[in-house]
Amino acid sequence: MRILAIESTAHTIGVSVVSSSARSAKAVSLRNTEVLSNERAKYPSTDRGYIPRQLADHHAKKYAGVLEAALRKSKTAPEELDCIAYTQGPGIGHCLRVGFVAANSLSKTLEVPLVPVNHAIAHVEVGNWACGTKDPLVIYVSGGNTQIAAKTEVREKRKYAVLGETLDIGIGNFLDVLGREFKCAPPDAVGLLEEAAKGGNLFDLPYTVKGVDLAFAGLLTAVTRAVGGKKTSRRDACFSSVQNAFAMLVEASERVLCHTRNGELLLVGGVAQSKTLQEMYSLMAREQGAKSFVVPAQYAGDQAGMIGITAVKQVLAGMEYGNYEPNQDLRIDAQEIPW
Amino acid sequence: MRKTTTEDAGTKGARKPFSKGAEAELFPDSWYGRKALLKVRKRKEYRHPVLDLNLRGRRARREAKVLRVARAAGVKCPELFFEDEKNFSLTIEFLNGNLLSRVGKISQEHAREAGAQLAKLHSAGIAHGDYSASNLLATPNGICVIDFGLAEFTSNVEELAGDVLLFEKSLQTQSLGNAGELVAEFRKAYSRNFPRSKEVFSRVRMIAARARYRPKA
Repeated sequence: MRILAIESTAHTIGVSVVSSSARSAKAVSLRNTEVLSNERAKYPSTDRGYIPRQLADHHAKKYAGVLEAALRKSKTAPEELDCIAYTQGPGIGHCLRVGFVAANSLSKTLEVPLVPVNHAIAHVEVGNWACGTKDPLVIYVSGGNTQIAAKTEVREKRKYAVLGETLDIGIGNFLDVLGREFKCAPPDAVGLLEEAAKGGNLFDLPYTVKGVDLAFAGLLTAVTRAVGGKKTSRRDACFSSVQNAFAMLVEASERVLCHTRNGELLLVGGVAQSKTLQEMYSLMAREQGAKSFVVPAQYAGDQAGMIGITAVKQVLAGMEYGNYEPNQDLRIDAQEIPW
Repeated sequence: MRKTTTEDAGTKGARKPFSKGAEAELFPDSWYGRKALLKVRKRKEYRHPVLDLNLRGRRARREAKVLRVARAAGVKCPELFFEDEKNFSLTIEFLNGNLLSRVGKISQEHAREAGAQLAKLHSAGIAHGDYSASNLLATPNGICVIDFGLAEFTSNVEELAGDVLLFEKSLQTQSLGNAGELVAEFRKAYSRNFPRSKEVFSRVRMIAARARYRPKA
């Protein structure tokens, strides 16, 4: 089976071609399922953050080129495609709409089925595929999302249940805002993490873990005020806020792990690329007797490969869909996982 | 004087932890002939050492104080025997019972008592910070509250609502389809014993609506 997948949740428009010879959704692995191409264009970060309308314009403009490259690199003729997959949500409405329209028109012209994919589940499934994990405790950290989730079965229905999560903003958004605030290069989470990796002195900041949930807003306010009031240097502020935020995240995950006792930990999402965070997780996992896995860098941030991999599983599981419309508020626990 | 230090409590072969939580390990102990638990906050390798030391110290001191105040206010919880300020360890009374998260089916009586105990705690100006079924003990003497590791002295409605929300969440995951009834019993007992319950419940709704990508109520 060959699937073309489109991702357009936030700052990235991506197109990927995935092929699979797996016989069942459960059997999908690196051995039988391959990402043939995974092309993308990212809207550059600016010192003002993102404006939804402009992101959507960017995606509409770049889509044709990205699609062409994805087909060419995978040596795929449109007639060879068995389905068209796309991100249904969660994400920014304007952006989701672009991907949906693109996928829908391809599906109609080629007369192949349309497969809606949950973006959050896709982040997890691409991690399972790449790392070979079966039933991990998932830590999903990206711009808009900070969730600690695991597969659970409630009345014979399997789902990813969110066991701990942020109560306000996602950790990536938190890092992005500080990256802009401190004029890092680039002015986002990437720039901030680079600055923080240079080290510094730790100063006391709010540390908000509420049971298994987290909150970042208090930390954000405190650190911007401390720098504004010249109570600390920019460098120490970057270092301390990252140390604090990541420790909170790892502690909340450790608390969940102590309840669920999963043997595997899987770190996914854009923020999973942070070496600092990866090291902290592996130390915690060792302490708790679990194995820790990190999604490979090329599948960490938003891209269409993960949508394709998840679509393969959905098709093999024979999933049916009542609604194809984009949904900004789709949650990871909104959907059944038949595999 | 006691001689147990954090180090030897953790490494002594003879002393296996009674339970190993995320934050602390509990070792069986005794205190002048009474069964006790030694609660040791271990160093977390993943945390910056300064942050780690601050957190462990702050939490151990606060937990000791909370235990004293809660007991005095009539909350069913373990008695604090000894506070070792150097090693961030506490010696507390051992209570016999089953964790509510392990009893299988939570009864209406359990839910009511959990509500009444939480109301008492909140009336004493304490928010528990981790009021889940794993931190409630079903004993012959009724529901007892344990693990005050994240507790705080506060009457801030946000923190109080956090306790209610967490307990209701754990009812959702653990009940066998009767979560609605249990929540109702829990809330009834809570409001009977805590005058600000209305305010707390309305904040619970706000918090739930605030979380990312929650289905809109």
